Amino acid sequence: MSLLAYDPERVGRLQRAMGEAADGLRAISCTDPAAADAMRVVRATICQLDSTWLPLVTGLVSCDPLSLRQRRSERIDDLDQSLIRVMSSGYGWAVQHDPLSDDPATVTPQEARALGATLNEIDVTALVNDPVQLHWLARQLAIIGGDAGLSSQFLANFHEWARLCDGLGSERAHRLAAASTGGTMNERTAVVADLDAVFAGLADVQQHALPNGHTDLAAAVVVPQIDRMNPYSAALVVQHLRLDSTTLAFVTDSLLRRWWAEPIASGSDDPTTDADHFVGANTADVLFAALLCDAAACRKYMQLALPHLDTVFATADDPRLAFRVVLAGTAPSTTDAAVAGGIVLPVIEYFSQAEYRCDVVLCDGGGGEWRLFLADLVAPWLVQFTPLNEQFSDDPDRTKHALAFVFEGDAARARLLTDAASSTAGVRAAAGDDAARPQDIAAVVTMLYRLALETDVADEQARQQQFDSLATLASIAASAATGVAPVVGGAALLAGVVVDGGSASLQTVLSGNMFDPEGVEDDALYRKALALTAAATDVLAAAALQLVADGQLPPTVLPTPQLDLTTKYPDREFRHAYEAWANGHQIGGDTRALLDSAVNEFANAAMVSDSVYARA
Amino acid sequence: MPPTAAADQLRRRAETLHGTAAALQQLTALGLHLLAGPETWVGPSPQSCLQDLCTRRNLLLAEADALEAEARRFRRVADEIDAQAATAPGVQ
Repeated sequence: MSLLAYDPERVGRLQRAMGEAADGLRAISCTDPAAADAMRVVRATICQLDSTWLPLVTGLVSCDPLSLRQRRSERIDDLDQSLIRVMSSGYGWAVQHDPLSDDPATVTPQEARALGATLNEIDVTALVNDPVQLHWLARQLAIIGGDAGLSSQFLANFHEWARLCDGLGSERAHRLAAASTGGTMNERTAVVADLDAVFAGLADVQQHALPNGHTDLAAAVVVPQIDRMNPYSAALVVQHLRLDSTTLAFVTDSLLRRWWAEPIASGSDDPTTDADHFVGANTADVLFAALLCDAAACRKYMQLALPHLDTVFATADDPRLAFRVVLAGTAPSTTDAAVAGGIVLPVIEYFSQAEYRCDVVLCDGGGGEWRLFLADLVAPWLVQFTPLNEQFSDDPDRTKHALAFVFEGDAARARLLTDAASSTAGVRAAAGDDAARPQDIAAVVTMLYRLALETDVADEQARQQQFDSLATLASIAASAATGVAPVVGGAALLAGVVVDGGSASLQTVLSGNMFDPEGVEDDALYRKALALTAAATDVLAAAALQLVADGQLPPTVLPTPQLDLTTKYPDREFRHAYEAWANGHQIGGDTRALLDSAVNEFANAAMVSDSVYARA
Repeated sequence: MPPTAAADQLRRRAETLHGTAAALQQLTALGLHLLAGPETWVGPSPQSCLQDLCTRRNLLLAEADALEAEARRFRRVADEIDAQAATAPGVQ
């Protein structure tokens, strides 16, 4: 049973008016058939007054109101009795039982105002510990948030945003942590779901207070008292607000800078926050998930966060969310090269300067995935890393060093080299249309092969150096046993410079040519020549077909030279075959120039120096 | 029934309906909702009462309007009967 509150004097007046109204209705009489409907309405009204409303008000006037104790026993302090409590304790109204139950699907302006007033002073812990009341609140806020008028009434009385949101946020963090450690999991997660619904409801209500068509709002306008609010609590509200990209980016950056500056708040009287529980989605996770719905917001956020990238990469419980934000903010589909370069290069440099922290501290739990992230970050923009491209930076050393750092990771290198799809997508985006420009593809392939080559050679040299150190150690051991001076370095051993008495068995083991950096380089160059020559043959075939279709070449010129896999010198052989083919068909003038241009982009890049072939 | 008598009967009925409509429009019941709002009482029953009083007020006013409209129609028909009688052959 519910409660009702009333002003006894006014109810008395209402009772008298109802009696007079019933008498007035009874006085009406009309037997004309045309008035039959009207008379039915009159009789129904008399019946309703006599049987329902007059007895109700007469009962209120004649019975004693509930005492203070009786009200408490009827749970007048519960949230769903907010209006009754406000009117009785605030305005001195009497309270009695109401024969009807409240319809929670209907919220009146008075109920919205009373709820706002009650939430200013509510005991949040008690509320969260009462799942029925919490669920009721979530439903009421959803109804109020769906109506501009009710929202206005609620906001007129509710002003303790920081107190309420911090209390609810604290309980949410606590429940999530508790849920992760076992116990009544379902119950706790149900509470968290209702808490999230309350935050969503508060956001829906506040949405009506935001200026229409707003852009670039100040944080304090977005959520009242946001500067006094724990960043976690604020994030739980902000995630549900439908903010423009600029505002969302600004608020996210602002909250995460605060979170990063003072992440540990507990240990005193401060409420528990996400920072006190190292499990589950924290402030950054919540905000990043919101950002990911808006690529423009991701881009703007990254531009704001560049001076303090720790707040991007060292905050989220799931670092992959941060990675996704950066990738969304730099995607070629939504970002031009100049803007992307302003983000991509600083991000790579951040990781290159903080590599140790990335593995050990910042990306805890990331499993070194940041290297793959960097590969994904670079993949769409490979053309911008080629030596002659200045869209990212006019300093070629800067782009070179950045890409070289990305290439240091085996997995990242493998992803860049094998993920042809993303690389091609990047080249296509650079070309501005679906047709990739040959010079861009050639430049990218050449650059990647050069990087792969340098890395492979460096690795081989490192292995040789390691072996030399071991060999020296072994020689020292042998000399200790034989009394002969040690030989320094495996290279010396390999050269047979072993003094008498040295380890003959060691010399035997090392007599083979175990390390060959030059061979590694040759192999890489051969593979590069093979790939680019294959590309050149495809380009030539396509160009010739087009020229034949256009009538600029006779059909007899087909087929064009193909890649010869049997030769050691595919690039050189293709060059010769192309010249012979073009000369044999007497192709000259503009057509020859066009074919030369198409082929040369790849063929020139593929050409390997004679010194390398001489070694081969 | 002679035309004039039929027209007179319609006019009498129109007068009755008009009087009933006027009585409906002056009912005390039409103002009850002003006394039964949230400045007097709040709760599920008061809310239900207010809604019911508003609904019944609207119904009463709608019936009053309907009676007025019917009364006008009766008068118009009566006038038409009189006009037809006046133009009919053999009528002085």
